[in-house]
Amino acid sequence: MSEYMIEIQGLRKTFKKLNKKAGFFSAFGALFSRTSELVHSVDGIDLRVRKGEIRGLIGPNGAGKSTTIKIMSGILHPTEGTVSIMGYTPWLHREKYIRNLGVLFGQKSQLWWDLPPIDTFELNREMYRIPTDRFKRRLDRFVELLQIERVIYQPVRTLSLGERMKCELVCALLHEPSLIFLDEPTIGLDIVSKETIRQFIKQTNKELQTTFIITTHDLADLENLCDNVTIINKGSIVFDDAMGKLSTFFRNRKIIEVKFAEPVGEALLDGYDVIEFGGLNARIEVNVEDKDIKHHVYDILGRLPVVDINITNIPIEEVIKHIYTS
Amino acid sequence: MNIALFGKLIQLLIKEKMAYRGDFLLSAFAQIVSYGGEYIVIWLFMKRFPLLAGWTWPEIALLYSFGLLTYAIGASFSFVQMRELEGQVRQGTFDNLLIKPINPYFYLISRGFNLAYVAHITISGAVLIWAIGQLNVQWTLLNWAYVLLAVVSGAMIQAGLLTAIGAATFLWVRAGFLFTIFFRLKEFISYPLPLFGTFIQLLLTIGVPLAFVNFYPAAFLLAHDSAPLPGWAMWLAPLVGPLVYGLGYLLWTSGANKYQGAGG
Repeated sequence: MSEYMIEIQGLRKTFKKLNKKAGFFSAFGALFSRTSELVHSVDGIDLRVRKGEIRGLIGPNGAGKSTTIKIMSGILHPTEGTVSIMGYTPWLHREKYIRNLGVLFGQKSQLWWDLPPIDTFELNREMYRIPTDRFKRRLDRFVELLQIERVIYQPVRTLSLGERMKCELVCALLHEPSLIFLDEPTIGLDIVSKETIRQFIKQTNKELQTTFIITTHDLADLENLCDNVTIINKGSIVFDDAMGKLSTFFRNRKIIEVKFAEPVGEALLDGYDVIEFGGLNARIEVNVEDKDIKHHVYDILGRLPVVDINITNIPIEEVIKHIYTS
Repeated sequence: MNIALFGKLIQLLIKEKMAYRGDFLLSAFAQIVSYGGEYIVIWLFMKRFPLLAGWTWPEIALLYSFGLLTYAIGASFSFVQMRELEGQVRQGTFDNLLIKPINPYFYLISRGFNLAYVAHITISGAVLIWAIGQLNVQWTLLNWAYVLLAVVSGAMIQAGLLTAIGAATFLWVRAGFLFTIFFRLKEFISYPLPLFGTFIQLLLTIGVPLAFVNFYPAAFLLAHDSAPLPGWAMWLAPLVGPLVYGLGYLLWTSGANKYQGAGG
């Protein structure tokens, strides 16, 4: 086995999308002739993930990350490319492969709505043929970490979203998979539940070297959990590196925040890239490639009645927004 | 899919149903009343015309019960499952089936195993036993074996056709109208086949082989004319079920494969 748990090369997935035109007559016409176009949802993705990694997979809606996850889960067949995960090709060895995989789709429940979660857990024990003592030990540990002692005996329909998501997480992990896909695991949760879930993921990763692939729109998930992050946009990978590299993506740009002693005219900041201006305060983005930061700061301090100044890197949200829209 | 897993599923399904046991019992009662009404309509009809294409009331009762019993068994493993497939494919929840380490078809039909058909089985079983008592049939061991096989085969025909309709969901997403066609055609088999024209006879024999569910086996048992097929062909009737079911399963599997290939 190679040092990578996941190795994906040249992955492509093309959908055929029927063109629908507006209007009654064109709808009628569609009975006889339909035109379709090809949509390249995933357009040549290469990806490698090491064992024990927590990898963030992010991208704007429709970027192709769900399709990629679905192909990696064996749900969809790719149009082109090779995927090798733990030595399996997901869509060819689906049943065997899935035994070693845990999947949580934040927006689709695995739990039986009218029954307590413990029943779904018991069903999974049978489905994955988990030995009873092992099952008990693992369940006890999860229940303790996630603080769901009472919750697992109450019908799912009476649980809060946070409680339910914790139980979904247990479902995905009970059979001790060495690889887990979490698709938006914290969507719609309150801060405390989010934090519990993040701690739980970290703990599991540390104790069992479980590999996680997490898709999310919550940057706090990335910052708190992920070692590496892969950003997908328009079907291709546009960033694939350590999380730390993301915050220094714009190394040549800084944000300067200043507060003034008295109101100043905006004209005094001509020549600067002003993001925000409020008379008594301003946020300015500067390029430190041609002129260094000292030059900018001296200029501002010299010409304006500054009482406070703060220099920061471009925040991650901005970086990601920039990557998404470029 | 194995026995232990299926057992666990049934256990949970019963528990789930019992969460709303009032609703369950009421709807079972409603089904029995509704099918009881169907029997009464045929009975009233037969009081005026003692023979229908040469068949007496107990014979018709046997025919109808055969149809209902096999439908109940077959549909408990297929109807609601296949009808709901449309929504699952459209909303993407079908994916949940594909991330289970078992055959998605067998998980789908077992997970959706419908206990409500116990009502249909109760009423059709009761009438069937009554009809058998009324009829002048030599009940040899061979006959009993034939009845048993015919019930299994009939259930498989019904489930196989419903499964094939489910398979169409993967191609067209909306396939609800096919269920309507199925139930319309199924109405024909409440009566002896010779009552209808040649077209319907051939359609129900070759096209949508519902006549093998009850008419041919009943005609064989009661020594009625089994036209348009020769009498010896009745021995083949128990084979039609596995054949139709097998074809339905293959269609479903290739449909699911297409879904995975195309991406829904």
